[in-house]
Amino acid sequence: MLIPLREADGRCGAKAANLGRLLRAGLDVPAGFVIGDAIGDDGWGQEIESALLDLGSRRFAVRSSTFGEDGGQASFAGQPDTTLGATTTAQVVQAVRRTARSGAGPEMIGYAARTGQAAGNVVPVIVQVMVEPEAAGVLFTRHPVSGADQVVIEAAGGLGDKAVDGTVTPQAWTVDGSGITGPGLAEAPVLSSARVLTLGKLGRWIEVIFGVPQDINWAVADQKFWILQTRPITTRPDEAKPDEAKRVSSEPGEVLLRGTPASPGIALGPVRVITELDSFDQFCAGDVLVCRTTSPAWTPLLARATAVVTEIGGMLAHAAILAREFGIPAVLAAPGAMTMLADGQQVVVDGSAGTVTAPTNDERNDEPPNSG
Amino acid sequence: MSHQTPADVLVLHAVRTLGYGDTAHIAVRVGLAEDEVRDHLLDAQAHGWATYSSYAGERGWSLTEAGRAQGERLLAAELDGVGARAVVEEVYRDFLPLNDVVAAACTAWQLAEMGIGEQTMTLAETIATLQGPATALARVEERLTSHLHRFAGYHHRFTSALTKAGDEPAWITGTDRDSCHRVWFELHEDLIATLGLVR
Repeated sequence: MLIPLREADGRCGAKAANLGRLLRAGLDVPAGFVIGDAIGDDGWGQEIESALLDLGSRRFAVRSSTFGEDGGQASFAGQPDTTLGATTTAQVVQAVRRTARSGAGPEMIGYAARTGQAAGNVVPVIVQVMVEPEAAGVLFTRHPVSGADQVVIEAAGGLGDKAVDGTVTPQAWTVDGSGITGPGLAEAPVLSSARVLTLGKLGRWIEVIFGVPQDINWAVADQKFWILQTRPITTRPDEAKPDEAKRVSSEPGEVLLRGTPASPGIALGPVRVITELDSFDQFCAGDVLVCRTTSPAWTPLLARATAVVTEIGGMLAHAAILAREFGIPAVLAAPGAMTMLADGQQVVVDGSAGTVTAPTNDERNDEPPNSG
Repeated sequence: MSHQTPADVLVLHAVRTLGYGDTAHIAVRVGLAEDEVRDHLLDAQAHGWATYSSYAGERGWSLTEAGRAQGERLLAAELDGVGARAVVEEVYRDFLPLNDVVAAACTAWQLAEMGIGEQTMTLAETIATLQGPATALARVEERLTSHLHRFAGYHHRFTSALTKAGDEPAWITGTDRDSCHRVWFELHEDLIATLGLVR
C-alpha cells in the first residue's frame, strides 16, 4: 500500500513521519509517498506506476525512512539506502526493494519493540520527486558548540551531498536574530544574505513545529526552499552496546550513584565516560557526559550532552555553571562515577536530587529506541 | 621589561584557554593576523599538538593531550626563564578566594533566574558583588603582566562584560559571548596551565 507523504505517521518510519508533519504544517517538502513494507506486501507493485505519474516528475529519489547513522547514506546491512535520480518505474521499483532491505535501523527495532511486533528486516521506503538544487546543505537551530540560541547554516553548491559526506568544506553562516556571520570574502557565497535569513526563519519555524532544536537537510531550487529531512539535534541512532563486562548489574530505579545536585532537571541517556582530550571524538550528542572535571575545552561536549556527571567539583564549579547555562541536569562530586558507570549504559540523571539511577520500565519506554 | 611570549607559544596557549575555537577567534585573542595564526596552528597540528575537528556544523581547533603537555612545558620554561614562578604562585593563592566569589555570584544569579533555591539575588546585587573581583582583577593582572605580557586583557574583558550585564544579563554567565564567567574561567585555566596544576 502506498501512503501519501502528507499522511505519513509513526508507522511510516521517523523520516517520513517528520516530513509528513512538515507538509501538514504547510512547508515545502518534495511530493512523494511511503511504502511501509515493500517486501511482505506486494500491493504497491500495481499502484506505483500511476503514483509516479501523479508526482509529475522525470527523476525520483528513493530513501530509507529511518535515519542513518549520520543522516547521510549510511545503512545498517551494508546496502545503500538511498538512490537518487531513478527515472523509470522499473528503476524505482528496484531501488525501493533494495532500500527496503537496507536493514532495520535502530528506530525501527525500537518502534517494533514498543508496539510488540517483531522488528523484521524491512524498512519503510520514501519515494519523492527529485529536487535539482542550486544549493543544498544542513541547518542547526541551536549553535552546536556554544549552545547559543542561533541558527547555524552550512551550504554547498549542487546537491549538497558533498557537504554532508565531508568531501567539500561547506560555507557556513550563523544567524542570530537579524544578524548574520558568514564565510570570508575569499570565495563567492553560495547563498545570498536574503536567502540565509529566509532559511534561518524556516529553521526557527520547524523548531517550533517539533518543539525541540532541529538538525535539518534543505535544498534550494526554483526560488523555493525544500526540506529534505529534519530530526531532533539530540537524538542519534546509537549502535554502541553497553560494555557488559564493566556494567553494574542494576535493578530498575536503583540508585547507582549520589553526588551534589548542581543543575536541575531529569534526563535519560547513554553514558559516555571521557577521560581525556584525545577521546573527545567518542562523545556524541545526546550522551550523558561522565568525567572527572571540566576545563574550557570541554564546553562543546557540555553543549551537546543530555546530562553531566563529574567526580569532583560542586555547586559552584565551572561545570555546574555551564550545565545550568545549557539547561542540562548535573550531578557533581559523585565519587567513582568514571568506574561505576559503563559506556552505553542507560541512566537517569536527576540534577535536582543529585542521583544517577537505572531507568525504570516506564522511563525505558521513553528512551531513545536503540536498546529495545 | 615585561616578557613577550613568542607567537607560536601564544597561539598554542590560546587554544588551551579558549578550549575550542576557530582560527579567526584565536587570532583575535592573541592579537595577531589570521594568516600567521593559521600557520602556527597547522604547525601545531603537524606536531600532533592541536586537532581541527567539527562538532555538528561547527569547525574549530582544540588541543590534544600531547599539545596540552607541550604547552605546559613551554609555559614552565618561560615562567622559570623570567623568574616569575613565585609571583604567579602567590597570585594564584590570591585568585582562589576571588574565584569563589565569582562562582558563587554566578551560581546565585543563575538560580535566581531559574526561580529556584532560597537566594533571590537581583541583577543589581549580582553586578555589585562582581565589582569586587573586577577591581581586584586589575591588581592581579598588573602583577602578572609586570613579568609576562601575555596575561594582559583579562581585566578589560571582565569589566566590559560586567558593564554590558546591566542591560543584558546574559553577559554574566552566557557561553556564547565573552561573559564574566567565561573570561574568569579562561583566566583560571591560564593560571592552572602556567603553573602546571591539575584541576
